[in-house]
Amino acid sequence: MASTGSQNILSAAGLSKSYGSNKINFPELAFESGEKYLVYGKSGVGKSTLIKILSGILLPDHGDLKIKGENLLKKSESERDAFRGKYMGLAFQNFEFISSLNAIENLKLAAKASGLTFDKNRVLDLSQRLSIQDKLNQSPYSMSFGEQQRLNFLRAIQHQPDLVFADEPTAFLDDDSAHDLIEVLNELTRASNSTLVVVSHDQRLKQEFIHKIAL
Amino acid sequence: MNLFKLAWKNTWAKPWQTFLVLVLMVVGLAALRVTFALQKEAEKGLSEHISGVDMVIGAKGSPLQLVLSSVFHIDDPTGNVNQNELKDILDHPLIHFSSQLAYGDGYKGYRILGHDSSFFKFYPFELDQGRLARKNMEVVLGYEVAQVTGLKIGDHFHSVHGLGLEGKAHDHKDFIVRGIFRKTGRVHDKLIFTPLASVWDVHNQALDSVKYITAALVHFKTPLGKLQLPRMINGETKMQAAIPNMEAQRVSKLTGGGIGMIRFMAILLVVLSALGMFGNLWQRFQEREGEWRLLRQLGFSKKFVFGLIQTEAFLYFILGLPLAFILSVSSLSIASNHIPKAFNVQVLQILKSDIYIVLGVFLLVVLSGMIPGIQAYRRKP
Repeated sequence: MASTGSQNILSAAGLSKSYGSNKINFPELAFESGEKYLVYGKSGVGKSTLIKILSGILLPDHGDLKIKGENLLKKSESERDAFRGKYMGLAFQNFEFISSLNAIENLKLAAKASGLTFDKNRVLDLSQRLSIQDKLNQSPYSMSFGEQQRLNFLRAIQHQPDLVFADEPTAFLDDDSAHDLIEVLNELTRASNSTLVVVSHDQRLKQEFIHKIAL
Repeated sequence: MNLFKLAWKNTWAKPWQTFLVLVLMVVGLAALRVTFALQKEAEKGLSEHISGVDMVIGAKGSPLQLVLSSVFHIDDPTGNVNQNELKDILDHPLIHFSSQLAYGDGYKGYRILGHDSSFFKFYPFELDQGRLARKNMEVVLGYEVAQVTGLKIGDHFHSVHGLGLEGKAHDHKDFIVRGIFRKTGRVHDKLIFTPLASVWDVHNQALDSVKYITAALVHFKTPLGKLQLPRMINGETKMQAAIPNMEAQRVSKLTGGGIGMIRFMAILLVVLSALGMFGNLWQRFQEREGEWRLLRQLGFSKKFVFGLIQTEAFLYFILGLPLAFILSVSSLSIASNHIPKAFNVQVLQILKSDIYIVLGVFLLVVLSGMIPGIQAYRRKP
């Protein structure tokens, strides 16, 4: 459950990661709760790597990372998994669903991972706002791409996480659809006072965000 | 949505693949179990029927036929022997006790066995109703005979010549039922017991100076008897001696080959099903590469992912074993109707081999899930 009031939710300093001889140094980060951030840059500069580090999936070679006042890098892998499930929502570009489950079962599974009780009313309300309320009993893979994308966001925010990471959310969308999607994301995260971090190379998004971090 | 439910959904996401692996496993395990059950019943049946009979003496012919007819009561006798000639042998000092048997007649397909009083030294049956036969033409019924024919204490009946349902009726002599034995679970439940002299009476031989009997069961005082007497009887008389244990071993060898072949095929099926199970799990693991990542991204630990794959494998165990047990029980039930009456197959029973089957399948299941499980465990989110 996201905290209320403006306070530091994430701070990172001196983060770096090497892939062979290619070393990526990341800028200092300080995210406030309830704010929206755009991390932008060209392809290959390490945007996805950064989001994986910030969500505890990948460990950096150097640096400090504190989320909700806790040093994420000192936690064990299973502790980071549990932390991510509880306090974060991830909406990756190449999203996946559990193919043997229908849409609502996928959402229930994600709720279980967060350690919270599945809030059916909230999910129904959010699905209505995302116009996929009639699709919840279908297999996600029988939905259109746009519906799958919205289900992906719904899964990321349903448990009102403190941090929502969205990786290239507008990659395949036209201008209007991109704008609408960011509007919806803003609206949904605002309602739960979640911090939204969008990572993208999409130049169109610059006008949608006040806080922008270039890589 | 718990681990088990997710594993269940994953298992049946491709129902035909799962179904085929389960069929292989269930048929293999059931066949394996049936072979163990039949072998156990065969060994038990052989030893229970032999029950202290060290040697059988009868007319010359096949020793196996002699043993089958006079100990297991499932074949025609080899012929008759002169009682006077036999008596000389039965008085041998190496013989502890013996019993003379005479066949010839039946009632509604059940054999009437004429015997002397020593017969019950070999087979100490307990009475369920009435008393033992004391006079000629009195009978005690085996349990099944009483159940099927409906004969009761005090009832009279005529025997027919031969062992079939149809035959020349001996309607000049009545048998009278004096007792009914308790269920033995052996072929003896299917026999009608009467004093030896009844058989001679029915065949009008009571006054003949030479009487014939079908066979004699012998119990030796010492193992030395088994070494000396059979050789002497087979070499120096018109009769033959057969050792039931040796003949039983021959039967075991004959049937054992068949059972061994069936068991080999069953093991092959189980191994194939294990390979199929592994193939299924491995294919699913590769197809769902992104799903393992997703589970970790959602916050599930790698132990959960490993546990999920192991649970999916374990579901084959949970589904396969009861189905295999049901199929084996059904098969045994059908088989029991086609197996010689000497062997009463216990359809519902827990076998010692069941423990090995359960442990073996459990091991196969764990191993099948291990490689994809470890691979998924090592995957980064």
